[in-house]
Amino acid sequence: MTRISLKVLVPLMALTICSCASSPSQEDAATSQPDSVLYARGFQIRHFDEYTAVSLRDPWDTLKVRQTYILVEKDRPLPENLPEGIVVRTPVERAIVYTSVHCAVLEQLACSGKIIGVCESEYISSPEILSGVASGSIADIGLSTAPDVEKIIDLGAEMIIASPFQNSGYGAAEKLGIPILEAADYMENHPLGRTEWCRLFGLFFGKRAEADSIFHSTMNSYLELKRLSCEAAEKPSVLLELKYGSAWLVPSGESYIGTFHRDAGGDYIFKDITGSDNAVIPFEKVFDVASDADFWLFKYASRSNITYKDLEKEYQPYSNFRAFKEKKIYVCNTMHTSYYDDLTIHPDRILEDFIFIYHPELLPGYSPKYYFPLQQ
Amino acid sequence: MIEARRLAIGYKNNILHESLDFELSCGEVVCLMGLNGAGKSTLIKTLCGFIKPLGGSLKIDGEIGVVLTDKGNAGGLTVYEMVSLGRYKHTGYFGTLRENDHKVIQESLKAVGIEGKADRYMSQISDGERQKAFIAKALAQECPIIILDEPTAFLDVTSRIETMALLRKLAYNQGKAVLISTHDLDNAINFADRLWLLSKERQLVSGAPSSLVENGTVEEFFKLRDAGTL
Amino acid sequence: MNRRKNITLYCAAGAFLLALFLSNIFFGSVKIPLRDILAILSGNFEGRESWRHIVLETRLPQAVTALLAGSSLAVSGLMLQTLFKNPLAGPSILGISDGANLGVAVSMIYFATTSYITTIATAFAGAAVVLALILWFSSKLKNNVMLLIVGIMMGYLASSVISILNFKASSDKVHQYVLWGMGDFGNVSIEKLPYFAIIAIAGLIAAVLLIKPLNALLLGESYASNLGVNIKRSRLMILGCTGLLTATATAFCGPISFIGLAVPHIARLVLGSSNHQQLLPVTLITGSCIALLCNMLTLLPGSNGVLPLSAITPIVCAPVIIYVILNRKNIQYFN
Repeated sequence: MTRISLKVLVPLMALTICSCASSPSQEDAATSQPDSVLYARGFQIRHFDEYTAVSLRDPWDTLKVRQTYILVEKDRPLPENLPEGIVVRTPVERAIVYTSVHCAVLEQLACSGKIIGVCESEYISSPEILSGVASGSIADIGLSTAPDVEKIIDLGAEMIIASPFQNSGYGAAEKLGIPILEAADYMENHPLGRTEWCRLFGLFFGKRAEADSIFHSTMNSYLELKRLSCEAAEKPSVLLELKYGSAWLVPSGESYIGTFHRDAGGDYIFKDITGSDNAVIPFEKVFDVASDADFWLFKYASRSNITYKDLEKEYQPYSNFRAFKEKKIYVCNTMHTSYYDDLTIHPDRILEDFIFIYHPELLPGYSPKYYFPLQQ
Repeated sequence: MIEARRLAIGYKNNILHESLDFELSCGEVVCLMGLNGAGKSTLIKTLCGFIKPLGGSLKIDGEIGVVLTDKGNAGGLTVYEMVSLGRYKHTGYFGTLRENDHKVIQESLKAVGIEGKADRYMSQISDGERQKAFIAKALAQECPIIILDEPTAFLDVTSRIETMALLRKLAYNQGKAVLISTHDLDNAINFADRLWLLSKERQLVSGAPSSLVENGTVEEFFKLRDAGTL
Repeated sequence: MNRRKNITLYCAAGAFLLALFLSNIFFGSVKIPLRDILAILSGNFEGRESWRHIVLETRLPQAVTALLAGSSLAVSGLMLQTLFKNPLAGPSILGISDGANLGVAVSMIYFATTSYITTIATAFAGAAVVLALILWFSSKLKNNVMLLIVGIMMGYLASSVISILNFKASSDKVHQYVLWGMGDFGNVSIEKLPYFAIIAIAGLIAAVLLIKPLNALLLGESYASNLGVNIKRSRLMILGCTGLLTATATAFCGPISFIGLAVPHIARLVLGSSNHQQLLPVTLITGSCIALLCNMLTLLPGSNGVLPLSAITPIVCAPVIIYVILNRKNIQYFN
């Protein structure tokens, strides 16, 4: 009896000692086969004999259900007495995908052949999709806020995948009767929660097994890295992002960025800020609190790489930060790296970059992929 | 002071008068009269230099001080400040007034009779007083010629007489050449040394008021016979 | 009597300005004791380095910027209101700040540049283009009302181009442009401040030299030209000076509305006079005071938050005008 409980107790204690654990959410089973969604808070999956029900939570009011989709396989007859929800016949073969990130996810699932239309192709980074647009096999339907409705009808899409925004609809596209999957993955607070949305896409496109396997391998890789970082004794203090207009947009400790840096073994200066939005803090307050931070990391998007001189020219008081003086600033130029595309399916790779910055001794021989030291 | 020979006035595509001849000398008051549309304001504008003559010769011997019907935006200036604008050509960089300027301004105020209101704002005085203030400004400019465009238009009967009397006094005492464009026939006849009658048919007819009345020109110009006014 | 009243007025205004300037340095989102601030200012400070940086490199330049921008915009507004005889005229009415807006929108949204220097340069360029057009129109149009309408139309044109750029751009670029559009006195660092200061002061000096023709223009253009004012040249100089002051303030601080429109009225109501010999200096000082006040109010007391400048300026200016109107019995200059 004691031996068995020890076998259970010891790993449990190990987990709790490593205080960088996050709690996975369990579904309360009320039906046949609940699917255990581990990290994502935005959706629930329930499997029934004749269909699968997917319900999406409202990201701005997590108690409300924003939408329910009833997935019925195409080679089954449509059952009677289906519950409320949008019926989607799976696997989906012709989908319009609004954003580059979701295109990348479908590519990982080997479903990019099922994409027949995208929005704003100038922001798409995948070469495969871009060549599809160039050759005409994939249509560019314009702005996501005002898509070309005639083209959508003409394409005969079975589903649209879009990112929801609070209080905004999808324009005329809503009235077409085509199911719109409101992929709110960008609102997940945990990096693995975002990744887990690929399991949702897997269900729609008939790639359940592949999606689950991708998710689990990413999850294992991420958790392994997190365990590794917990071994480091000291956590360096970290300042994130930049002044934006008249104030600093400070990510909260609970946001997915905050979670990343915590899991990488860094001590984020503003980790005590709660909520999922960015806090708006005046420059002098940030400076007062964070001027001595060990590291400073931020993202930017520009055709050319910036330097310490550029940063100082941008706003001269930046040069008074300790991280500036000691040259401990690391930056990610999102135009030159695949940061946003990898963020969803491979957060472990990004975590690796952070761990390498904070505790290089833990990853000997690693070369950074996203965040590089700021140039002189 | 002013001499015009075969003067053509009007606008680019609209000549009002092709050949006007007239003279204005120091120490005299001339009233310019005519029906609406005869071209009075065009003539005034041409003489003041606001529009260019279209032909002929126009000799002006000296500078002109004008009194117009515009009220402008000067309600927030005191009478003294407004009149001191007449010294524009003589003052320094910010319009600072020297001792001589103050003397001229005070004399102008006294000449028109509003020195008691010098510290009042332009928006606080009566119409008649405002008119006097503008005349004082023209005086402060120290020009030999003063041209007034309908100075009595919005004044009551007493103020009209006062204004005309004042202008005649200024012409005689200070030797100025005063040209008044007006509709006020009665006062024009009483106070002017000469009348200029302007019309489309007869161009400009100039003469002493008494003779123009006697020989029936005035009557004809204004078609007053039937109305039995004279 | 008049002179004594003037001296007291200027002393009071100057004292008020100084008090607001110092308040901007003493108060901020970080609580720094007065003793330490005075030590920092006098160069004898031994404590936290971050506080020295905050006072000397953030608060001080921000206060000076607010002072200069406020007076630039207020004086521009006054000159335009006199030139166009329109109490609703302001620096934004001629489309000059819209031109600056357009320049920045093009660089931020179309070319995706985020560098601050580029922002200043393109704002200036945009404003300069509009100003040049206005000056050209000014030489072709004799009527001021027509010129005003042309300016307003150009402002609308610029705004609609900006709408199109906004519509077609991705959300983060638009967000950045929108942030610039909210106005900010805090972006002019100590090294950039001299450039801003030199141009602004040059413009203000030019404005002071225009006091004489501005007073003459109060009587209207006919009277003014009879007095000896060269109308064409004066108009050109007034528009040029206004354009320079507006373009500079907008380029360095983003578009700041309302100060140019409201402060001349506050000054007129306080003075009770339209004489530019007093009105212009009083407008200048009042503009600085109002800008410093608005700058202080962008910091929400007691919290971490920050309010955009463009929201604060109307909230501050409108009640001041209403208060002064209710308490003044004679509003001379409107008659």
